[in-house]
Amino acid sequence: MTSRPSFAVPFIGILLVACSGESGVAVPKVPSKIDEVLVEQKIREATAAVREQPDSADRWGRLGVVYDIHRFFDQALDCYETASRLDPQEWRWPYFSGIVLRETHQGAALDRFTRAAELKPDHPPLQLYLGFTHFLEENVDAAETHYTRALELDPFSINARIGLARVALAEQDADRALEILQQAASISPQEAAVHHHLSHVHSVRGDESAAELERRLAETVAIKMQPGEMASFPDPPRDEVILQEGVSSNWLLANANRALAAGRPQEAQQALEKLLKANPESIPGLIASARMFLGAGDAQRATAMIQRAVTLAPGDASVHADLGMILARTNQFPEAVEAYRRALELDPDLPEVQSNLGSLLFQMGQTDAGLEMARRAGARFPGRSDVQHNLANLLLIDGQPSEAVNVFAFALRLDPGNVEMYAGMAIALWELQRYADAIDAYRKAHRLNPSNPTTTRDLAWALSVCPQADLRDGATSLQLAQQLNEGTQFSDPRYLDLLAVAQAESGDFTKAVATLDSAMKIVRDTMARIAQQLSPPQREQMMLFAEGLRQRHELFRSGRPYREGS
Amino acid sequence: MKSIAAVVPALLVVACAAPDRPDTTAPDSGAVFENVTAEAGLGFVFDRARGGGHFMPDSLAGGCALFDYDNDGDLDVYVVLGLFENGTFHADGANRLFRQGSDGMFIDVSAASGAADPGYGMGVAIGDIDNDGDADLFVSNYGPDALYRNNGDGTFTNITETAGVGDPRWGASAGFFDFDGDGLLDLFVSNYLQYEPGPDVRDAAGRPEYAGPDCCPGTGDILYRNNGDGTFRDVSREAGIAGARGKGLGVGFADLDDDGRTDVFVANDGEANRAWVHDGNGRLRDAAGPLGVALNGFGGAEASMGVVVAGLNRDTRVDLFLTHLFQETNTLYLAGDGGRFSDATLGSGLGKQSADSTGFGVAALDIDRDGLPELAIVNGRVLRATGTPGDDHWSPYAEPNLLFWNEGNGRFHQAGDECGPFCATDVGRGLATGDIDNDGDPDLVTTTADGRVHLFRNVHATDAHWIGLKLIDTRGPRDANGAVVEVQVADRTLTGLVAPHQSYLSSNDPRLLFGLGAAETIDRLRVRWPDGEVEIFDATGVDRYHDLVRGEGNPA
Repeated sequence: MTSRPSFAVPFIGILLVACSGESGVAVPKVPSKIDEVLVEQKIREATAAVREQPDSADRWGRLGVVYDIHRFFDQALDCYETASRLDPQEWRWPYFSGIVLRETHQGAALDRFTRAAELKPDHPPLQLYLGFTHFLEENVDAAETHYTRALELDPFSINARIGLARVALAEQDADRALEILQQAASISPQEAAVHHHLSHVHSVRGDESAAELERRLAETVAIKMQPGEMASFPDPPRDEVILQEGVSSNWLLANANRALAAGRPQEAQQALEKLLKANPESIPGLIASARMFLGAGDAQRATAMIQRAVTLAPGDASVHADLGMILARTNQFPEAVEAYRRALELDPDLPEVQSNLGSLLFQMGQTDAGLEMARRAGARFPGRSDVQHNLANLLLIDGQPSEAVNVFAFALRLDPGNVEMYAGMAIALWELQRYADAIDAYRKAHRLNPSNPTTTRDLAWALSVCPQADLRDGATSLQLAQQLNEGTQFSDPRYLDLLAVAQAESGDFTKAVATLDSAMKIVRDTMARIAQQLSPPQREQMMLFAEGLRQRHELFRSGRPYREGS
Repeated sequence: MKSIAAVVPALLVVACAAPDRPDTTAPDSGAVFENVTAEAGLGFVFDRARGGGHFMPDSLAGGCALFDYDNDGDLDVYVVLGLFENGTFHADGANRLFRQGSDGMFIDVSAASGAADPGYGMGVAIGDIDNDGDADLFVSNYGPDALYRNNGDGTFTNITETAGVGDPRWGASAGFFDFDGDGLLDLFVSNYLQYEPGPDVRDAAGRPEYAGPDCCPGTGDILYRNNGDGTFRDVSREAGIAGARGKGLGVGFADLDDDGRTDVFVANDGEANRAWVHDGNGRLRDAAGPLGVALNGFGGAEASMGVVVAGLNRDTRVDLFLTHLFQETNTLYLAGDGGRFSDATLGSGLGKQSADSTGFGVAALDIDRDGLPELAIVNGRVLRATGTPGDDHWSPYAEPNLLFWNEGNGRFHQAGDECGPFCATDVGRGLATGDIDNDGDPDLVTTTADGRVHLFRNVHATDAHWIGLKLIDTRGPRDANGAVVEVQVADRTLTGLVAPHQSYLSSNDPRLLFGLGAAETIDRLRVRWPDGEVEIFDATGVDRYHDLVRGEGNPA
């Protein structure tokens, strides 16, 4: 017996029936044994469409897609080949053939990708597949060409950079690989693949301490590597096709999760209902449904879903973790603690659970235990920015701004686009009287999201009330405050308060007093209207705010600006 | 100088050092292996998945061992099985021991020997834990592992409980080595995932499918210290390995950092590998990163399964070879200067040739006795390749096995028709190599995911000479795992490592077998025992096996 069979066109046939139409090609017989009804229906529907119009490349291609994404690869390949013959100028069919062939025949896949790229040279994922497959086939120069092209087409592509770093390593150029990967890390610091590669390059260059840090990050960052490494590349147009045609349990779940992430809960609900009808014991389906209901504010149904998952899979830590989250969100704190602890018994290495349990204990008044848990999670998962963020917040609340600043700084390296972390860092820095650094952090948060009213307010406030004269900027503060108030039609007392502070800082105390008069009136009217509906803590908060307004009113009437933190 | 005593059977691990002389010889015609399973009495019928379920361990088990349990001079076969059906474990899945008779036929002695462990079996490791001269048996299970002491009369006694080695986690490959240098074999067990059977996992077509490694968190490996009284103590924590989690499947034992101590390599599935080396203070530390074997040469963590630790090129160092998932290549790490390995897969002839396959068991074996080990790999997918309905349970997972001829200098080429039945399509998992018929060339035993066994006899016709060595350490552990032998032949130095615990879930014949090519004599035998002491033996008698007994040579 020799090496594997070559995979030249035509492909070895499968279950063809003699029902050829005008294309002269037999339509694959619908497989006789399909486990899920929806999949069978979908295949029958797409097959019927081909039979109606057998010379339509699109219909053959669509039938290929339906087979392909439900892992009937032989049938899919047959359909794609027919579609290609009917419409040789359409790039998708050889492209999709290539993706299927990667499962078993890299050489044949390369042939299809090459053909597709001749027809469509500007599709970044196709260039990535070409780069990856050429590299696997040991055509390093060709791989470099395609990875470079992918990067030209998508300058933020992480996979193209990883590919180019591999090419550099193959050419013994570790310095170049390092440079490329550092760029990748700055673009996407949460990807394990980037840190794995960085650890390797540092090690090759003899820098073991840097390698060790990257190793730890690789093990703990949020975006994990998939088995097979870069086995598939994100491809939005193809994903959209899958969204339309994928009807098996797995695809329904994937589509539901995608819809949830995109803020389309109704679409998610439809997919999940179909999924649970087809497979009522789908644990991922039950978890996703619970999350969806929780997001929609339906805690009762969320709890019912997750309880069912717990019954079906009592040994699954992730189910208990979700139960804990739902219980915590519905203020059932002791029960939530119990669920989190059970999850950790089953799997002590769940970063979210350790972190959430720490927060929960802290919130329940067990501050030392909560902080200790959060610290342990932080040390165990240095690559998880969410875990670090939570620890930093708890440290801040606990009155440890100095350590909080360090943790915020570390977390921001992993997630430099996180506005909330910059805001938290600014508060910690302000408490340490590092006003310049604090204002810098506020500026960064504002720059990341200029339309966010909270970051705008925070920056404007700091620029007016900073005790350090050279850092104050009344004009900018006034401009930002004006902008916020225009957006709320001068009806939000918090923004009016801000405007008054900025006006005072700019020397216009008369306007500042008048603005505060408006703010105080709104607060008084509101209190009179809804006092009965407020909880005691909410009432206390309103009172404190009103007292602040009164004190600033007095200051401004006496011609003095407001300062904070001195 | 004392002469080496002529003795019994032999096999395995060969490497060589000397001139850069490409050797591209492969048989001109005819298959190098023939499948003699049925005629040898190993063609039993078993199917792990007979219940039709998709219990994840079914897709990854199980291993096999070649060892001479009854000290009669020929190799016997141990097959690791397991049966999980309708939510319970069945005794029908007990492991089996086959004794080889003088006629080369294998007889099932599972029940009589007492070695038929009834757990859901994964892997097997053989070692003489009490230095009494017979081979004891460790079985890793999905569930509590098991240890069987060889009573020396053809029977075994289950001593798991008293020995304290019944770790309940999902055990995978395991092996014995002298961790602390006290002259007793200690035990290292790689553990895989924290998997619990639950509702079916489905594939994209909605069909039940096996769970993948992403399903569940990894777990920690375990190291047991041999107390010398039939008991072991879990020293994972004090040895420094307890906190390290991973998804261990394969192991290999060799001195990876050149400090004279035997280290442990662990192949992890989809995560960085680990290389546990001695830190000089009685503990182990993971040096896989600095050694360059944690990831592939391009920084990728691969789905590592099978392991070879052997010299694979013409220098005297021990190299590594790992089998991987499809869309990854198998990876060749060649040991270099400065204690670092380099990924030499690119251009080796082993890379792209394996990118379509999912490799498990693997062996380095000198099929043609030219002094260069070939690489034999069994493949089999973990996810269905096709959706053709009506297939039996396993056929969508089947792939052809691979055989590569060693050209020296780190280059290989894939065997063609001469691979014979070994390269047939199947769902391969375990693989062990040994000289089953004691004819001086290595044979192969493989296992499949469904629980069948294949015996491949090496029928390659060659006039090349050979020498086989069984090392007996009288000061350290009798098995001498980790010892390195250098055989000086004319202008070549062949190097062999006693490392039976490699491949995937399997245990090889521990004897060393050196192919000598045309050389009719050997000039010198040099042994570095596991504790570092070096001894020189007189060189005599090719084409036969010898015992090398420590103390019977001369100090270097």
